[in-house]
Amino acid sequence: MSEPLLDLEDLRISFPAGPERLNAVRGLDLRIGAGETLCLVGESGCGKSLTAMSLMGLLPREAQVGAGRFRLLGRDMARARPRDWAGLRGRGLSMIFQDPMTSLNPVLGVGRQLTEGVIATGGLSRAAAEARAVELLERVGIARAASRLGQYPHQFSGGQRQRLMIAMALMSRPRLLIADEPTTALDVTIQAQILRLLAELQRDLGLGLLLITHDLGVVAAIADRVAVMYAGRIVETGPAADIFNAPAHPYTRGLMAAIPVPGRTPRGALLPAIPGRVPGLTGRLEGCAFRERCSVAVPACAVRAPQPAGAHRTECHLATEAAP
Amino acid sequence: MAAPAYRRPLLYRVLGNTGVTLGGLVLLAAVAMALFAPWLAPQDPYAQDLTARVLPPFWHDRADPAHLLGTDHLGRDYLSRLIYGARVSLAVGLGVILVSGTIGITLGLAAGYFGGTVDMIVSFVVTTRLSLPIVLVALAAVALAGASLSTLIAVLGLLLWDRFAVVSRAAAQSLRSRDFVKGMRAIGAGHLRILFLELLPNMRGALIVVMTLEVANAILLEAALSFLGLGVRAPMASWGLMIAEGRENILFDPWLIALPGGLLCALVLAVNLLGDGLRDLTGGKAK
Amino acid sequence: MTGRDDDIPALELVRATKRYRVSQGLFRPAAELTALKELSLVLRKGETLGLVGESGCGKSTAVNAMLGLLPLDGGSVRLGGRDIAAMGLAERVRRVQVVFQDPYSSLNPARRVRDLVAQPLRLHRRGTDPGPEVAEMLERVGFPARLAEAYPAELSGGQRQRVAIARALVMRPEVLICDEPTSALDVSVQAQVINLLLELRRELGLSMVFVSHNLAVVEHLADRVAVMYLGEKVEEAPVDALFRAPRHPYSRALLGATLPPDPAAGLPALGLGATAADPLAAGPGCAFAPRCPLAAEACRAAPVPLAAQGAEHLARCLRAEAA
Repeated sequence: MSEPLLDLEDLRISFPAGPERLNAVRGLDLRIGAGETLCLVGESGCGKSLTAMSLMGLLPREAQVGAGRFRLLGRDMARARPRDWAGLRGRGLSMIFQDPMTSLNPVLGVGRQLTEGVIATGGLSRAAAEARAVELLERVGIARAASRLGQYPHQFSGGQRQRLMIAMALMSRPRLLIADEPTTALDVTIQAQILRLLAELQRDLGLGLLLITHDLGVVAAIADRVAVMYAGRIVETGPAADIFNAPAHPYTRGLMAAIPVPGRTPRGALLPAIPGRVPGLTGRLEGCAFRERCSVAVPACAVRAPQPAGAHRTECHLATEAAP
Repeated sequence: MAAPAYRRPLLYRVLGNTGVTLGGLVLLAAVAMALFAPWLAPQDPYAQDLTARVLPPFWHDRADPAHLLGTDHLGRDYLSRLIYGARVSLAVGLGVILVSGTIGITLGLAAGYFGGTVDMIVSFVVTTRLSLPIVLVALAAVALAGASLSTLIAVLGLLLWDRFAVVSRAAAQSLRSRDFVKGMRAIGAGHLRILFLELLPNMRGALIVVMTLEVANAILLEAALSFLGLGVRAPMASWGLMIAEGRENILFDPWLIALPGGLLCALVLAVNLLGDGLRDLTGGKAK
Repeated sequence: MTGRDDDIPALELVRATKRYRVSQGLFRPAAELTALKELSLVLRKGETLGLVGESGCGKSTAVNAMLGLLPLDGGSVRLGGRDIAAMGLAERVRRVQVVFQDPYSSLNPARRVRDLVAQPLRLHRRGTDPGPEVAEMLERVGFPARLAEAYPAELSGGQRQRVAIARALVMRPEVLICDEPTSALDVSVQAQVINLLLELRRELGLSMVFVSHNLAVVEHLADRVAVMYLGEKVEEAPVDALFRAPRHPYSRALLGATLPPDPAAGLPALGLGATAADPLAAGPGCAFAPRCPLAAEACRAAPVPLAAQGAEHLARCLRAEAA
């Protein structure tokens, strides 16, 4: 078996916050293999977007990053300098952002935006780069691609702009694609198109795909594996079918129960909401971060539970007993 | 329970900001000087004594202990005149931003909030105003209306509102689309209430900065116009006028210019420092 | 109006029409965009009406019209049988209030929570101390009293949305319009807010219009659902009927694109091709025809009327039977 595209152990990201430190990511393990779609799920503030930024080497300067192991596309990035990151971005590693309108330059033609990266770093000629751009635009479903290279972002609709972003991310033939909430800003029918497209591309090109989202519906549609994040740690990870059919962590189960599902949730009934709110991440957090909101917490939860080995892992003392 | 984002108490943040502390102290001193001038001034600033003309300040051998900072060409006590001069500078600074702020903020708010035709008209007026050279127009206006403190304040107030208008227009434009404006309309609030009670408080950070800039600007313009003889009338003490009166003696008695000039410089610098500091303090909070 | 008082709908849109002129650049004539095309809706007393559709379908215009904030080009909005345009400010405010999607933009950041909730009372009931009512309303929406002096920036999204709900309900309106009130919230908080709305609806006997693109949430809360496409109502039905047997191809596409949290459901179906709705490119016929997989010649030729599809079930489609 070949080395995974991403092999991350004990990732920690912190920021200065007055006299203490804000520990946004507190020991996170993540592995993505080629041709695999991993969905990182969590609510706002859980650290999922920071994790994505750290994988691109794009964290703000004041952030402090540390990792037990940080191997990305076969390179050791644990102590990488900015130059090392520049060598990965656009050469095997690409990212799609949530809002295509802020990620596209409104005054540059899309053809130029698509090609300039690969011309600069990939050593492609302009003609070859444009050929690749046309091929990719057609691949992501933009008709008459060649004639649209000269157009500007505002001449494309919202869904088409997200397709442009995907095409742009694929220009450098990445092996690992990171997508941070790629469909959150889109209408549901457009979201369906984009997810289909991502799934097809991922299968056809054998990409590793890390998709970050808070929408469990998106996860169910596209994920091979799921990692559920809470307060800077992954509390449960496993194959998508296992996570959805037998969620073991109380937080995962709480999330699943909190969304109404037509035909399953009794209409008009109170939803089993998770009480309270996420804990502050300043300073040290002992034990399970979820225990104050957890309905089954026991005194043992004051100490962090060990994560057992295996495909489906849960960081909870009660995981086995609590599972349905 | 999430901890709120860490923030030091207001007083500490103010004191931790050198600009605000320093600028505030100097401005406070100037205000005190202006308010308590009759009690602070050792002599009558208008009393002439032609026998004691152009006496030097205390560090000179020829100094008269009764006139700590010497006297001017008419033998008036320079320290007293400097203290009274703070009144003019601050009155102009304050008066001008009251007039210009009212005009500029009203126009800017209306333009940004209503948009469309109102915005077009206001933008045209602003452009027209920007095409007028301030000093020349002020000169002409003061020459026509006659030099006096109130004319000066009125003329400068009518000229210096453009920055208020531009800044409040931009702020109103970005706030207009927020849902809370629609929410206010839904609870039946009128446009005036929304403009002045809901939108205006959200711009105070930006407006305070503009205010300090314009205060400094007005103080300098007053000095310049007084220097040209078109500001404050002769017996009154204004730092600009004092510089003008002292310019004939510039080679032999440079303190006549250095003292009012230095005070002017310190006051303008203090106001600007204060503005910069306040912007830094409020900048993080204004969302 | 005939019949008993109960028969008068709490809120009614009667053929409401709104057009905007859209500039197409310097050298082309402005185009006319019909944001609402003779939209008729009825909200009965105590009922919750779901209003669904994608961005640009006219949902927000409809909300503005229901709040009386929009002069219409045709038709009318009626509250309790009376035309909103002829209604005094105080009465309008007492009858209809709104909760917006984004609690980060719907509360004035310069005001404290207590002030925000008291504002409607101060505007319309001068002279009385709003304090007790504000405190009661904050307690009702589950907002901690110790935070009443806080500014919105110090609150979480869920807390802000509670404040927004308290503010909307403090005048005790008959109709509450919820404009995507949960879409900006996290999943766990979204459930808390939905529960709160369910409880308040029961306790206060509210009539609600629930605008959303999240069909699962609409299904959970609404009694009846109206589906909008480019300013028109394309389908309206009791929530059961709509989710069990949608008749309009657009409703079906929306339902098909909704992602249940179930990996067995797989990737969503694509009934619509890759095109998006274009309000300026509408022909004389059905507005959905350019994207419709079932569109026939007749669909493009002339406007399609709403037709009964069953009890209380309307759809604007010539080929409703073809599916």
